[in-house]
Amino acid sequence: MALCALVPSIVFLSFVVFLALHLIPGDPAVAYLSASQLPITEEAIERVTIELGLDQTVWEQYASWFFSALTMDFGTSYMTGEPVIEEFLFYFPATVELSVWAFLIVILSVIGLGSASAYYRKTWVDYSSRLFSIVGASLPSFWLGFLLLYVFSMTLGIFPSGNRGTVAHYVLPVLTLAIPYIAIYSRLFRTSLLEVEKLPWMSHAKARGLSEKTIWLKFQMRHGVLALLPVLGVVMGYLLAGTFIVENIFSWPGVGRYMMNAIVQRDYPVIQFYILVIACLFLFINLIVDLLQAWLDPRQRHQKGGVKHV
Amino acid sequence: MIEVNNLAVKTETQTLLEPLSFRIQKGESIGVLGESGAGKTMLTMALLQLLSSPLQVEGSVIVHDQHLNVLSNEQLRSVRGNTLGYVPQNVQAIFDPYRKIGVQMVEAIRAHERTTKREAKRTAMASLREVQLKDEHYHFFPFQLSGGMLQRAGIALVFSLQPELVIADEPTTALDEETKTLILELLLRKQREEGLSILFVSHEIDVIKKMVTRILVLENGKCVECGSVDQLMNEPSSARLQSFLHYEAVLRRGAMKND
Amino acid sequence: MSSTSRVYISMAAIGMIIIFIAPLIMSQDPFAANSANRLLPPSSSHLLGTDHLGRDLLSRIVYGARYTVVTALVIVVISGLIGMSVGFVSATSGGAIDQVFMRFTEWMSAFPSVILAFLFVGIAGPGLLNILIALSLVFWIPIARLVRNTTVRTMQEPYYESAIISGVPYVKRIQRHLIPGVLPQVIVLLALNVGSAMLHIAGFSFLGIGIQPPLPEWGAMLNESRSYFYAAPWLMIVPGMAIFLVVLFWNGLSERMRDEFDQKRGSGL
Repeated sequence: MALCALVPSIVFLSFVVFLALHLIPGDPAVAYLSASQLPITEEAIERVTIELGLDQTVWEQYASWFFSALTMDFGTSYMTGEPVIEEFLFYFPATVELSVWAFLIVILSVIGLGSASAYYRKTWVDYSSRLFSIVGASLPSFWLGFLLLYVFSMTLGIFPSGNRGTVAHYVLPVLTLAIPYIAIYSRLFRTSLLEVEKLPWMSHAKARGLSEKTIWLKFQMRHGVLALLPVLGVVMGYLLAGTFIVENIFSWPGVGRYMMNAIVQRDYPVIQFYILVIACLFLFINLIVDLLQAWLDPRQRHQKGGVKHV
Repeated sequence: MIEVNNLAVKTETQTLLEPLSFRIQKGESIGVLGESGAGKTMLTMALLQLLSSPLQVEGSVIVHDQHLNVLSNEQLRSVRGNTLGYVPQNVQAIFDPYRKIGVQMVEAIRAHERTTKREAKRTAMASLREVQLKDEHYHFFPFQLSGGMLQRAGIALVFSLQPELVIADEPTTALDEETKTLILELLLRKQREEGLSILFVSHEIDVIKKMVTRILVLENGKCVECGSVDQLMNEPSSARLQSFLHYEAVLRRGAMKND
Repeated sequence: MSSTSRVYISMAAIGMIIIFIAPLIMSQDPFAANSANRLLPPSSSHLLGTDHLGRDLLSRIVYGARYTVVTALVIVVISGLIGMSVGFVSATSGGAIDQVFMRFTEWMSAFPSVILAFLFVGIAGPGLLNILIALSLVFWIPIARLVRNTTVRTMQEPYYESAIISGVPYVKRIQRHLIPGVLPQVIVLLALNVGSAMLHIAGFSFLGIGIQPPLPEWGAMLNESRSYFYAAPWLMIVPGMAIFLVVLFWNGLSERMRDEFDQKRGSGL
């Protein structure tokens, strides 16, 4: 049901993406020639312009793209001549693995670090976590990646430096990806936990003699985590789409590196497809967040099921 | 059962509540009268040891020979709720909006008493019935009840812990007439039948007169007068109480004219 | 203003002065290659060492601040102006304009929009101007949202409504209530954005789609040093450290200002 509601958004989005790509300066015909390593002559440009249908209006081009997209044909790459979707699916799993691991680490660390610094506020735990957040949020991720490589791979030789393979291969890239997010969002989680503390039922729970543990777990954490949910959706989106730098540093065979190439070569079909996939993922993640929120928040749950007023 | 000696609340620079002493026996009721800002809520919070820095509490609160000011958090926890029950002004706000009323009641009962879930549930439901709610309301979320019903559910939660002293901070200000009568009668009945002690904070002199036998009058954080209701009503010595009584008399005259 | 804030501001001032008088005080040309001096470790003649073309690293870092730091500042100023005007117009006009604006920005702020900036730069081609356009297009949105929301909130405050009723003129109301209510939070966000913009500029250049060598942009310098990673680690450490410290400075400044505004608001109540 909810998935079907996404369809119009996706169609609309695909058009916006198509249009946006046309507005950005640059001639796809020239890009096609240079990507397929053909000589760029005026004659060749003319031929390719017709071949790719670039002489048609934007609407006609979009329509032909749209109807072939319906049959899961998203065009072929200028660089390789392979179907875009096949290439993409070849690289995508590696990126998903990286992002999902990073996501899990981010969730666990954010909840752990955030709640520890809220619980032990104004102690050394809180101060060191604050220091970590400020430093972590200021680190350029490419530099962080190099530092980790330098220390753990080159000097200490604990972890391998690149490529996919054993579990050890995941450690450094996942950390590089996760640390900035942990730094930013653990602080945010701490703040929202402290906000919850000010709500009236918190002091009343204390006044009726509930144990600190009950108050902490059942009242404070519950509300804090609920407030964190929409943020986690955004983080997942960023992790999936933000692997360019990490894949570049650690020679990770994922979408990030593939896309980097496509961008430099202006491989329009690939770029177009990629933005569309990211946008769909983003819509999908938001949908999941909404559903989770409705499931965890009885107020929303009961609004949909009809409120039982007596 | 409760003895308060020189209880005071201060910040570093100011005194918010001047030293104040009183006792409440089992089955006795005492009223605290004062305008808003007189320090009434400060007093109730200080009694429950719920104030934290920068507010400093001085003096002692002794409940059943225990000095509350020196108790550990865990010991305090066992006093709050089941010895000292607290009915705040917005009693509907005592529920966490995300969890069912019954669940929160059972949780509170079992925080004080080692009982089975089923036993606690029975107590909770009995308590709900006492405020004229139905058993099914046990399974409701707070937002599914109307304002008045939620207030009654809040009272039911406080009484399900069987407190010996109820500290009621303006409990009737925000209530509709029906709920107000129900709550005041419940308090009086518990006092009569079970020997409940009551500390009743209010700015409404007619409600206080109905509920208590002795009164403390607070003004600007200071106790300006205390004594039995009859004595104070007949010969008020402080200007504050005189103006209170005068105001009330004017109101009553107005009401009679309307009749 | 506390002494910490004064320290921050004087540091910023000194930094700006150094950036602009760099050509006067640096004894060595940041572009002068010298194959005899390749990959020299830090020493008294080259305080931070030299790179693979024998260029002095210190002068490249100082000179490079123009690209990384100044570009970030320009982006923040442009996006700040756009964001503040759009947010203010949206809040004060209300109605359909506000609705459309809210929907659009809500959408954009949930979407990993920096990716769009990245693609824009990638396709439109490397260069300062494209980076400026792309990042400004992304950065104005959160500012507009913040301005819009705080303005709407301030306008609903009883004191603002009573100012309307008592006939305080529009311009005066803006001066007395809206600006003091909105500006502090915007400034905190702008300071945070300087750091964030720097990280993005350097990140783009690191990936080779931003500012191109031989310009000494810090991210681009890091990228150039990759092949000499093992032999000359200072080539990697120095530009990274420069980015890190300057971003840390802005993030710290932002945090500091937030604390100070919070305190002011706290004592005002």
